[in-house]
Amino acid sequence: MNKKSIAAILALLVLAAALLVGLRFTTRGILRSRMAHPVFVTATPAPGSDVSEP
Amino acid sequence: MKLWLKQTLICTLIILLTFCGCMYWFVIQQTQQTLDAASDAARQNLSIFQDHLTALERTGTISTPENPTTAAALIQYTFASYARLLQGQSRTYSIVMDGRYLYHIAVCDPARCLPMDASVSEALCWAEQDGTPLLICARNATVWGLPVTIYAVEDVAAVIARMDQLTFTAQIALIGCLLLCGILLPLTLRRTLMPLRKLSRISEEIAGGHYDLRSRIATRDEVGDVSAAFDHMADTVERKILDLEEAARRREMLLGALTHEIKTPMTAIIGFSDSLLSMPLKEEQRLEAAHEIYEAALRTERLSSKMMQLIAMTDCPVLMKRPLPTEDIFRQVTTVMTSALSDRGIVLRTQCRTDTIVGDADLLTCLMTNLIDNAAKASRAGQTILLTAEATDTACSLSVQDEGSGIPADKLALVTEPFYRVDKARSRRQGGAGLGLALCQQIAQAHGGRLLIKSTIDVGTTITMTWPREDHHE
Repeated sequence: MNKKSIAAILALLVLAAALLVGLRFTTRGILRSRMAHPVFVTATPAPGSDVSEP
Repeated sequence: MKLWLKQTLICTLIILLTFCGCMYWFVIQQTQQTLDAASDAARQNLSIFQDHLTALERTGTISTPENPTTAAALIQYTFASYARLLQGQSRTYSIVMDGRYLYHIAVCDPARCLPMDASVSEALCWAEQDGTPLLICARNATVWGLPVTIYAVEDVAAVIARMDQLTFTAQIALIGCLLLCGILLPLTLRRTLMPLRKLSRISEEIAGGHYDLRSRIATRDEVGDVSAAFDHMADTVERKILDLEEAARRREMLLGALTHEIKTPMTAIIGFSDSLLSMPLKEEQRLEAAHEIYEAALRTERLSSKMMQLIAMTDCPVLMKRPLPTEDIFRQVTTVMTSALSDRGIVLRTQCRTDTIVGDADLLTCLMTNLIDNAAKASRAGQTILLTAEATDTACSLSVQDEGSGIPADKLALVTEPFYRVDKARSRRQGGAGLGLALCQQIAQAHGGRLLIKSTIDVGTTITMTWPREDHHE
């Protein structure tokens, strides 16, 4: 197996590892996004939409 | 990089990206749904709590307090009663009136995390307190004319744990997919590419001199096609190599025979010359020696001339094929041969069954003179040689028939070999070099035809050259 083959296999493994770790980051990112954006429902809602975000 | 490894990496990359795309979409959808479900549940709980609290006023269970202080105390008492009843380890309730808590046992300060103003009826946010994920839900309400804000704070660690479990499951599936690709793809691809390895091995062995080897991969796919083409190429190469080897062998034999044939007259020339130079000879003996030298030199010259013709015909036959009047060409041959045949008492007859034949005039004349010369050597005085020309729409033929001694059946295949003589003693005596029929064979092949020899011992021999009228060399 030459250097090019080893480099290609390593690149694939690194990509797979990045995708694996990225999945956890993605779900945490969704939660962080929810934390950063509270939801407020106004007392006198506008017609057709009663949800707004400050 | 080996093809199987390259294909494995490409396929794994494609499968990995596709699988990851699907898995990411699924996990994101599930996460959003889980968080939305938790939010909806929290809002619904708070709504029920608010309904309980405002029911006091709606149902008139307790009469309306006369002053705000009493009303606030009554709200605080009632809220605390409900809160103790409904709250648990993961969920706590708080109530705020005029910016201060009437009841508050939550782990965080919800009024600071989620400040409410009068324009907002309901609010919701996700927060984190000392590493504990919290979901804070708030509602504005009015009890006995007093504005209050009710908060519900819920520990959502279980929800986050479900999200983590889902992510972990997806990661395990991804690793499993990678392992499967890494194990199954190389095995499958190596098996698929096995015929190519066989093809490579066979080609190396053929290059090493085993020209009879074939791949013979009988699959109905592209590899099978490649194998068939390879075997066809190997057939052609083997045939060419055999032809070249045969040509080299014949050339070597020709050279050996030529050396041998030249040696005989040269020996005579050297012997008689030596006698002339070193021995006192009588006039008669001197003349006889000179005559022998002359004859040997003539034989060498004839041999050389025939060899030249034969080599020229073998290496690069130049053919000028055109329609030839049969009578003219027969007359030309008869003129050349008459003198020699008359001396031996042999009669030459011609038979023209066609007006024209198509061929190279010089080569056909050479062929006929050689065949007639051979026939004359095999004939006795008083016998006849018949020269015949025939033609159809597609083919021409020339034949020479004699009434001579004939050729044994087992020698028929050899008489066209250079320097081969059926009767060696007679041939040498008559000055033959054994090249005439070999030359005729080359002339026939140059015309795209063949030489057919029929012979019966003591009855005679008929040699016929048949060739197509159309020129295949043009």
